[in-house]
Amino acid sequence: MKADAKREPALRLVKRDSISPARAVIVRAVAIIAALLVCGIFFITVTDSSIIEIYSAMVSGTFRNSITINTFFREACMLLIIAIGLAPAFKMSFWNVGGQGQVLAGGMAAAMWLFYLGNKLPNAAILPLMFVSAAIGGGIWAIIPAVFRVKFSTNETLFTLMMNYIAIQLVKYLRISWSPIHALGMIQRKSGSLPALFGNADGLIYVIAAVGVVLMYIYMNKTKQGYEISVVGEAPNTARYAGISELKVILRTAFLSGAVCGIAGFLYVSAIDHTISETMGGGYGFTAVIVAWLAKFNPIFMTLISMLISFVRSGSSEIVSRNTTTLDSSIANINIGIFLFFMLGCEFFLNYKVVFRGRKDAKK
Amino acid sequence: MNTLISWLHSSIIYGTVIMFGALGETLTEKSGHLNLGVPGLMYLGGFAGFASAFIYERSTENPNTVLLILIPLLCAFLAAMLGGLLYSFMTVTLRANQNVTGLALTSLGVGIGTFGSARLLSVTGSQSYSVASATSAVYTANLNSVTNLGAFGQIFLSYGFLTYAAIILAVLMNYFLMHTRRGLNLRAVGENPGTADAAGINVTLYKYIATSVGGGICGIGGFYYIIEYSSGKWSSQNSLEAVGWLAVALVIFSTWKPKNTIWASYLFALLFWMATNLPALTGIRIPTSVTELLKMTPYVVTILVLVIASTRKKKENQGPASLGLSYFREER
Repeated sequence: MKADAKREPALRLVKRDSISPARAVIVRAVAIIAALLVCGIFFITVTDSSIIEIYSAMVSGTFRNSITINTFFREACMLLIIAIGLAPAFKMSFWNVGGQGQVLAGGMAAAMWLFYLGNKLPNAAILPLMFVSAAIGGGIWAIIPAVFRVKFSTNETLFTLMMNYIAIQLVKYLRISWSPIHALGMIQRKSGSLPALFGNADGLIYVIAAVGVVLMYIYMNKTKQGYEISVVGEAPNTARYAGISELKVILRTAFLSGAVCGIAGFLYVSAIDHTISETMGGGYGFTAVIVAWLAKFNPIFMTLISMLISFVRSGSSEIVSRNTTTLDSSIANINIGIFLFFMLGCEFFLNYKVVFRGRKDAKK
Repeated sequence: MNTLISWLHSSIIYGTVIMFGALGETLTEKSGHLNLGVPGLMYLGGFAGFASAFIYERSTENPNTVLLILIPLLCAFLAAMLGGLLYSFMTVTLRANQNVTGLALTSLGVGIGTFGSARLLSVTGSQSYSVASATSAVYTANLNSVTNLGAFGQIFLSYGFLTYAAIILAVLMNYFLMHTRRGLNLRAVGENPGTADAAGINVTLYKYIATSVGGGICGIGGFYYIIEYSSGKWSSQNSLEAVGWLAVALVIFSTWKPKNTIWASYLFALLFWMATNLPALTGIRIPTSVTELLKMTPYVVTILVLVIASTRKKKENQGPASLGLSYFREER
């Protein structure tokens, strides 16, 4: 051990100052291909198909007809909306893992209008009310942990996590108390459903996701508030010297973050589920955390990663539907997990360079 | 009286699940790594332990008692340890963000657990659950059925050996962390890896071992959940995920001290079962919808604990100083 310590190690790591965009793309592409391979091998071991059959099934299952294409885009959009909601919070080093709870809080606020006034108000009146109150509901759900984070530096990761479960229990409570027969009844009302756009029931979801991406990009990169977020996130002391109010920025950003998740909840209630349930947005709260992180909060990357994950999900469910006797839908979670690990792992090769012993270019 | 006994009984069993998770996470966090993958690790351990027991039971006519105990326990520990190893490879060697890696591990572990359970169902042809009855019988064998001591026996003796093993583990871990050199080294790694490194401690090795073994302990918690709490049945459960998060929170509640974990776990479990037991105990009738509200209690209490812990800044009650930060030697 002692003698070894004096020699240069066989390989060591050097932090990269920067990486050329082309190389970054190559590293990510390699990671995605490797993940696809591992998923393929995994499928081969659990089904009787060959690897080509598996990949063609994943593609054809996603793009077979307008319904599957629609589902693919809708799921990608929902994941994307939650991810763009979480991104500003992460950029501020505020670990909002409560996306699920904020979606549910927004959903509850929207569903209240639907339940009580869904038969009385026209669409033009009830939809804006649902939208705004969903945003406020989600925002409130996120601002509570933020207040404690600012006041007492309470750990927001666990706080937002626990808020998820409180929202879940609240939804369960509302479902039982709203439904007259204590069953899991749907909230069927005359109004309160998002109208179709160009004949597509999910059309407005796409519009909202696209507008959200653009707005969030502008907000984070081109506005004073977006700048304040990155200062508070990266150098809180600098923020203090520069006279940026940490309290104001954290509360404002947390509210915004929750509000966007709340809007996702509104979309679930008004366009997708037409009811409220505790499994709404199932698991996207966590997946979106990873999407936002992998994309380095860049909305365009977030779009691409959301689509990739949505593809893995729809491709996996196609393979499940071809082997219903032996597989079940949870396989999609495994594949998404595999993808996330590969994407996370490749971050390392973007940030660090492995230098072998004897190489002289190590200093550079 | 019976309600009280059954409340205490279910709380001790449920608390033991949380305790295993919290002890594993305490060991992990002492190395400076916050692993949010505990629910995934519990699924991994629970599934591996259950599946191995299930397969062993079906493979022989007369299962050997020692093997019935050893095989599932080892499989549960090893499977979750591999999960912990994956986490430490990502966070220690590849320096990935700890929160993100933990969440990815949770997705993966929960996916593997539920997927595997579906495979087992297709083997048995049953629609609802599969069961490892012989293993469960061995693991839930207790003194109460032999001694017959009434209420005392029901409250204190009616559990399988893993329940008591959890308490022993907590005591041992407390001794390890507070009174041994290796425990001191581990704490040094979690407090200040740079200083520990300079003192000649192999930081990477300590981080790897603590995270992997911690993961394995979480896995035993998952296995205990299946074999004792669910009496050896594996159905499509998702409540295991909530237990995992409670375990993560409990580490803060117990101020990173294994000896506090013991009573804190039971307290959490008592709160968890309050919603179902308190109405019967007090004779107050409450509607089912309100029961759902009462089930919030453990989460609300966790939040209160988080807030109280953060307002009282006693130095000895704080977590490891470099918790959540990756250590890169060349960056010092």
